[in-house]
Amino acid sequence: MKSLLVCIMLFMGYSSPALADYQRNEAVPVDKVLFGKVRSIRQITQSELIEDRNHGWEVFGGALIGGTIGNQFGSGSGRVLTTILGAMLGGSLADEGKQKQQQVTLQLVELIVAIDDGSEFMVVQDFDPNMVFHAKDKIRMIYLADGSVRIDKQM
Amino acid sequence: MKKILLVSAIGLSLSLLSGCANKPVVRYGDAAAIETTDINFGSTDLQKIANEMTESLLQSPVVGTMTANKRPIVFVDEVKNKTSEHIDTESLTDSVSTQLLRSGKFRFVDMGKVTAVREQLNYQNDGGLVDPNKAIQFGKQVGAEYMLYGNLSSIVKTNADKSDVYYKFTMRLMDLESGLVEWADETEIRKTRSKEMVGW
Repeated sequence: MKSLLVCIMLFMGYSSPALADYQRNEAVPVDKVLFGKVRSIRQITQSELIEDRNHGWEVFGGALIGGTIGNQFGSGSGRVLTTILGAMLGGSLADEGKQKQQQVTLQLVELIVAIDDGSEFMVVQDFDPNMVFHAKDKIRMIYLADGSVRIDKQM
Repeated sequence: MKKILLVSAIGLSLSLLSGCANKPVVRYGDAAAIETTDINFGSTDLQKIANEMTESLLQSPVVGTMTANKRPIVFVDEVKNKTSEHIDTESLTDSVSTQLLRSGKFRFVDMGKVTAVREQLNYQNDGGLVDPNKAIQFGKQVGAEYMLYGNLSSIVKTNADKSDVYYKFTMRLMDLESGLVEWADETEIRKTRSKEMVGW
């Protein structure tokens, strides 16, 4: 039971690092591709607050525990009343707890790239552990048809 | 007694059933078999491009004249990948250069190993451990006469029912002295993915 509680607590206060959510091996429409080198690189993180809306079970659990406690008091119709009151109290307490927002930390990478034609760009994109950039790496700057820009290594 | 038999029968059937569950199986396959796992650039595309380019280059009359009395020295520049996919273009150029080397008509210099070669020559000449009379001297290498380079581009069209990917690979051989492009060819690949009704 204790381990279950610890698991629930961990789940409720979980702050997950969000990584790259795109596929580099996917054939998608491209507007143009520029070639160049990485001039400098900086790892940055950005925290975002996301309202947690998935907590039906927490409210249900609170109501269940409240109802069980309320059921211990009174007798006859009084016991029913205390059970209902306990369930309502437990449910509302759990519902109050849900209002807190979940914090998600985005791992980003800020790249300053020098294109072969002499122009320079700064691109901020998701950190991808499968493609870690270093200064002087040869890169491709891909303008995707959906309006976004992505930096890939040439090899 | 019947109960025990029943329980053991259920247990046996359960264990047999669990034995039928999905298990990872490793098999060797044909490396040249056509691969259609998905619509993205795959091994079949790489092999098709490398084979067609090598064949075209070796059968070109200009290259025939060029290689009639000598084996020209070529260096392979990188292939510019203009697709959305992260493709190992070095593997593509490796396949082309390996097939050309095996034809016995060309010789290659490897620009990717210049730093390693320089380190080795520094060690031989300045390290003090190698006999100076047997050390490989600087300035004895031969330079490339031709440069092989290419471009890979794609056009992708997708709707709800169909995806179409068109790849075009262009390759050229340039004479480094005159700057003339002595040979060029291109190969195209079209791949389509559509939803099909699965029949018997």
